[in-house]
Amino acid sequence: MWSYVIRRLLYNIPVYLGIILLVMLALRVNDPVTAFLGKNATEESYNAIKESFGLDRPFIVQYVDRVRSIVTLDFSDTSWEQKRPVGEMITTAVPATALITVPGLVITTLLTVVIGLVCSFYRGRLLDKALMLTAVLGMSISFLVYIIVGQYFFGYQLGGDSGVFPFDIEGYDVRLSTLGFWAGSPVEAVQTWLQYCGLPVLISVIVAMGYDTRFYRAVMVEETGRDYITTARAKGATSKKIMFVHMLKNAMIPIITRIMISLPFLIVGSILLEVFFSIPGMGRTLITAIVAKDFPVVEYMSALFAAVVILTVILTDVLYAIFDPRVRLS
Amino acid sequence: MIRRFFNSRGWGKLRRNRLAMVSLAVIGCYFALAIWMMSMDVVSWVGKKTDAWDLAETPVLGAFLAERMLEQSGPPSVAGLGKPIGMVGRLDYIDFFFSRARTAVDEASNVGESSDRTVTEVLDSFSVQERRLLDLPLPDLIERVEEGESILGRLDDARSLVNAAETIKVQLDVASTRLAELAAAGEEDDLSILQEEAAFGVEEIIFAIDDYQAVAGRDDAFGFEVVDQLQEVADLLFDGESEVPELAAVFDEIRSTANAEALTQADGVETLLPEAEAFVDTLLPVPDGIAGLSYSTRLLFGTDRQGRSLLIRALYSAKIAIQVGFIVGLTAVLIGSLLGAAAAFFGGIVDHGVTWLYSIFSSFPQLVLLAVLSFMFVSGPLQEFRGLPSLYMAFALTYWIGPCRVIRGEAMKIKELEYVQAATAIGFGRFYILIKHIIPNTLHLMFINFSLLFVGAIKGEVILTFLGLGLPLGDGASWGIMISQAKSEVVQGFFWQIGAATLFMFILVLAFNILSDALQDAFDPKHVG
Amino acid sequence: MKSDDHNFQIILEQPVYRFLYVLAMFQTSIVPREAVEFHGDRFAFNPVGTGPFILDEWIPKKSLTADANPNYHEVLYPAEDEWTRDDRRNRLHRPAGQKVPFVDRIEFTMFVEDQPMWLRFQAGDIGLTQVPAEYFEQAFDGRTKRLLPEVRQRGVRHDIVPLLDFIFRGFNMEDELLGGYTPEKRALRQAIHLAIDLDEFSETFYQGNTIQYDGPIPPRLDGHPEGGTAPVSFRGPNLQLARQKLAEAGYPDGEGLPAIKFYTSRGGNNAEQVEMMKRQLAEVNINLQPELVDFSTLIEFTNNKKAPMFGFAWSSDYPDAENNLALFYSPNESPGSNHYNYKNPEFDALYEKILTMEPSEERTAIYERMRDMVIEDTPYIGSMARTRYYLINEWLLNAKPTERYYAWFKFLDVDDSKR
Repeated sequence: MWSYVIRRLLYNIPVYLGIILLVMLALRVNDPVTAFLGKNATEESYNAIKESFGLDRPFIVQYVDRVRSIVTLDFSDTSWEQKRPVGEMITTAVPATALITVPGLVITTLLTVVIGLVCSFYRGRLLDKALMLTAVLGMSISFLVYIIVGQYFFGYQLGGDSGVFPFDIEGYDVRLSTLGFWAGSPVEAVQTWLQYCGLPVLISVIVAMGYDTRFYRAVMVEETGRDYITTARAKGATSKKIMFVHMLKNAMIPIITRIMISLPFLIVGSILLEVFFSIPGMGRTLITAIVAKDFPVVEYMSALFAAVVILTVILTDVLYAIFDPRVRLS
Repeated sequence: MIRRFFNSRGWGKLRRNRLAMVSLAVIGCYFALAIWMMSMDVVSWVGKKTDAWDLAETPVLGAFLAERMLEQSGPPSVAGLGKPIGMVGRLDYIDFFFSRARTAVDEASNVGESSDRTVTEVLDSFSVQERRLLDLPLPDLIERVEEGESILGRLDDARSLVNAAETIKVQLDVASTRLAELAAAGEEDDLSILQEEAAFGVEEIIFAIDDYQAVAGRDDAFGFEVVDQLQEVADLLFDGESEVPELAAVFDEIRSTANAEALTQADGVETLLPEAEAFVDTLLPVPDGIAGLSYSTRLLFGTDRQGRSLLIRALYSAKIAIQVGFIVGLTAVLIGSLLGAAAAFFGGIVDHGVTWLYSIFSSFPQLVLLAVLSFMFVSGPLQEFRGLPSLYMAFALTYWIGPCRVIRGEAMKIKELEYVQAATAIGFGRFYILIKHIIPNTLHLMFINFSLLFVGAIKGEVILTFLGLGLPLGDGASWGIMISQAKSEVVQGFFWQIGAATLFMFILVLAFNILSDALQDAFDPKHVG
Repeated sequence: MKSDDHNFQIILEQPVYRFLYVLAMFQTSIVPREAVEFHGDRFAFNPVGTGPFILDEWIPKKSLTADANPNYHEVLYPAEDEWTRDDRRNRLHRPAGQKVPFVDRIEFTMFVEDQPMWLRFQAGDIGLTQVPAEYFEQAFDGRTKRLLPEVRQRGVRHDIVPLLDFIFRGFNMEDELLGGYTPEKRALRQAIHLAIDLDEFSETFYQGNTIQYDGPIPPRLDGHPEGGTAPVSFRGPNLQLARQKLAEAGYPDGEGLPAIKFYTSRGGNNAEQVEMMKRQLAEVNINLQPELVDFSTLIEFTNNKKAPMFGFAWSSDYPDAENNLALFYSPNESPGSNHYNYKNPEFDALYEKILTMEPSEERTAIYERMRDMVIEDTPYIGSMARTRYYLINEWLLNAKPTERYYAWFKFLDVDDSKR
C-alpha cells in the first residue's frame, strides 16, 4: 500500500516542478516590474521593486527559492499592490471562499445524490424524465444569467417594499472569517452568513445541480443493473432499503471520486460568484491581482492552486487504491 | 472511413433517437444561418471591391452585415413588438420620433445651392429604417413638427403639474404635523425651534403652490387669499408667535383644489398621450407591405439602450458563437487527439511528455487558465492579437486536454487489441496502423468531445466577455456582449436584452447538450457522467 | 517661512490668484514630517493631521470609520447670516456659531455595486447617497426630473450638485492627420465636432442629467457662455455643415479620409459610448476606429503623444476657470495635462496675464476671449458636465454635499429621534 503512495508522490513531483517552472517562465515573458509600474516609472522605484522580490537574481536562483518557499509554506513575500504579505492575503481569503464552496458542495451533493437515486429508481417513468429534462434545461442557461437574474430577484425584489433584505448582493463581513465570531455569537454569525453568502450559495447549488444530478443518476442506473439488486428484490427487500442501503453503499466510490475532484474547487472558489458578489475570496483575489499585474500574488497563488490540485489527484489515486486493490498492483 | 462511420451501429442508434435528430436539425439551422451570414459578408466584400453593388442597402440580404450592427432600428429601450414601457417610456418614444423629425427639418432648412443634397435626400437620411417622414412640402412639415412638439410640451407640463399638486398635498401633511406639535408643546420643548419648523412647514406649502402656478401659467389657481393667509401665519411663526389663526379650513380648501387640479391634469395626460402617439404615426408612418413587415419584425424583441434591434443582434451573435464553437472545437479536438493518439501509440518518452504536459495544464482550474490566457492576450504582452483570434488561442490552449486524455486512453486500449498487434507483427508501418485502425475507432470520441467543447466554448465566451477578458465590448455583437450590456438594464426591470440573448443561446446549447448525450449513448454506452 | 511654533508665512514670487484655492485643497493640508517619513508609502493608512476626525479603521473599497478628534482646534459652524434662503429650508442654519464636529463618530461605506448602496439608503441605514443612474427613476420623474411625492413624504430631501466637469474627446494637435492649425486641418476637426450629437449621449448614458456646453469652462464659473452656447459654436449635430467642413478639409463626403483611431479606457459603459460615436460619425462617412485600452495604457499613449484622439475628462480642482484654461497652456504639453499639445502663443500670453488677476469683469472678458480661441481651433469635442443628484435621509442634519472640498463632513449631525 505505502509503496503505491510513495510511487504516486514521486511521480507527481516532476509534474509539480514542471508546473512551477512553466508558471514562472510564463509570468516572466514580459518584464513584470514594467508591467506593474508602467513605462514611465522612475529607475529607483523600478529597482526597488525588482530587488524586493528578488527579480534581479538569475532565474535558476529564483526558481529554487520559489520552490523552497512553497514547500516550506513560506508565503511571506509582500504583494506589490496591497503591501501585505501574500500569506496574509491567502489566509484571509480562504475562509471567505470556503464559506461559500463548502456549504455549496455539501448541499449540492446531498440533494443531487438523493435526486439521482430517485431518478434511477423511477427510471424511464415520468418523474425521472421530468427531472432530467429540468436538469438539461438548467444546464443550458449561462451561469451569468443566473447571477444577474438572481441578484435582481433575490437581492432586490424580495427586499423591496418590506424593507427587509434577506440577501445582500455585495460585500462580506470580515468577522465571518474568524472563529471567534462563530463561537461567540453563533446566531448572529449564521444570520450574517445568510445575508452575504446565502445568495451565492443558492446560485452555485442551482447551477451545479444540473450537472451533478445527471452524473449521479448515471451512476445509480449502472448500479441498478447489477445482480445484487435483482437478488435483493427477489428476497423481498423494500425499495427504500434497496435504494439507501445497498445502492448507496456501492455507489460510494464514484460519489467520493466526484467529491474529491471538486476539492480543489473548494479552495479556488467560484471566481464568478466572488467577483459579482464582491466576496473577498481566493478567486477574486487572484483576478484582482491579475488585472493589477500584482506579480507576487499571481505567482504564489498559481503555485498554490496547482499544489492543491496535485495533492487532490494523489489523494484520489490513493483512495482508489484503498477501495480497489487491482490498482495498487499496476 | 466516412462510409464506415455511417454504417456503424452507433450511427443507427443515433438516428433512431428522435430527440437527438431534432437537436441535430436545430443545430443545422443555426449553422445554416451562420453560413448564410458569412456568405453575405463575402458577397458584400466582393461588391465593395468591384464597386458593383452595396449589399448594406438591402433590407434582408444585408441585414446581418457587421457594419450594420451599429444602426438604430427604433427608439431606445422598447420592449418586444416595439412597445414602449411605462408612461415615461411612452413619452420618450414620442420624443424620439419628434426629435428625429425636428433634426431632419432643421437640416433640410439649411439646404442651399451649395449643398450636395436635395431636401428630399436630407429628409430621407433621417428616417428610422423604413419609417420615412411624411411626404409634404418642407414648410408644412415644419408646421407639423412644431405642432407635435407643442403637444409633447403640454404633456410634460401636465405631468409636472400632477407632481406639483401631489407635492402640495405632501407639504400640507407635513405642515399639519408641525403645527400640531407646536400646539402640543410642553414645558421642556424648545418653543423657538418648533415655531420655526411650523413656519417652514407652512412656507413650503406656499413654495409648492407658487411652483404649481408657475408651471400652469395661472397665478390664481389656488386663489390669492389662500396664499396670503398662509403667508400671514408663516410670518407670525417666524416672529416667534405661537398663537396663530386656525388653518385647518384653509388646508382643506387647498387640498381639495390640489386634488381637483391633479385629476384634471392627469385626465389631460390620458387624452393627450394617445393623441401624441397617433401624431407620431401620421408624421412617420409605418409603411405597408414588406417594408412595414421588416420594420416590425426587427422590433420583435425590442431594442437596447441605443435603439438597436435585439433580434438582429441576438441572431448575429449566433454567428459569432458558431464561429467560436466550431473553430475552438475543431482545433482543440485536433490538437488533443493528435497528441493523445501519438502518446498512446508511440509510447515511451512521447507518452511521458504528453502526460506531463497535460497534467500541468489540468492543474489549473479551467476558468483561471482561461482568464490568465485571455488576459495575456487582451491587455498583456500579446495585445495586438486582441479579439477573436486571441479568444481562439486561449480556448484551444485550455480545452485540448479533454480530448487528449480521452483519445489517449482509448488509443491505448486499441493498441492492445489482438488485430492491431497482429498487424504490427505482420509488419505494417506505425503510421499505417495509426491511420487505418486507431483514428477510425476513436472518431466517435472525437465527435463527442467536439460537441462538448463546442458548448464549452460558447459558454466560456460569454463568461470571459462579461469579465472583460473576451471580445472587446465596443465591437459588433455576441451573447457575452449582450448579457454584459443587459446587466444595468435588468436593474431597471428591462429583461428583453438578456432574454433575447439567453433564449437563442439556450436553444443552441440545449440542442448540443441533447446531441452530446445521444452521441454518448450511441457510441460510448459505457460512459458515466 | 516660520513665524512661530504655530504660524508660518508663504511669500509668493508673484501674485497668483489660484494659490488661495490651492491652499484649500486637501493636498496642502498640514501634516507632521516625522509621521510622513516614518510611514512612507503607508501614510495614507496611518494619517496624522489637523482635522476634525481621527482615522479609526480603513478597509479599502469597503469602509472607513473615524472618531472625533478631541484636540481639534476651534472651528465654528458658519454664522446665521451666511446661510441663504434655500439653505435655511434645509435647516442648515440651526447650529450656527457652535463648535464642530457635532458627532462622535463618522462611518463611510464604499460600495462596489450600486444596488446595495441604494437599498441601504432606502432602509435608512445610510444618511446620504448619490443617486445612481439606474435608480434615478425610482426617486425622480424621468422626464421632469422632479422629486417624486412619495419620496418627499418619507422625509427624504434631495440636493442637486452640478459638477465642475469638463468631459471631452481630445485631439492630439501634433498628430499628422488630425492636428495642425491651418484652415483645412481645423475644418476637419470641426467637421468631426459637428457630427457628434452630445445630447444623444446625455439621454442614453446619463439619463439626460448632464449639461452640454461650449468651451472648456464648466457651468457656474466666470467665462461660461450664456446658456451654454458660445458666439461661435461647432456643437452638433449639424450634418450639413459637417459635410461642408469635410469638403473644405479636402475629404469630400469622407473620401480619402483614413480611419481615425480613438483611444478610451475600458471601464463602465465606454464600449457602448464608443459604438454611438462610431455610428454618429458614420453618418458623414467618417470611419472611427475605437481602441479600448486599460486606463494606464491610455495615460501612457496620451503622454507619449501616440493617441490621435482620446476620451478623457477633467474635473476642476477649484472653482476658477483658470484651472481648465491651464489645460491649453503650451508648457503643460504631454506628459503634462495639456494632452492636446495645444500651442497658441496668443493664448499663452493671455494665460500668463490672468494668472495674477483677481476675479473681475476684465478677467472674465479675457476668459471669454481665450475660450472662443480654443473653440475656434477645436482641439477637442465637448463639453459635458454631469449633474449629481443626492438623496438625504431625514435623520442626517447639516448635509450640503459638494464635490470639490470634502471638509463639509465636519458639519454633519444626526437626529436620532428620526432614525
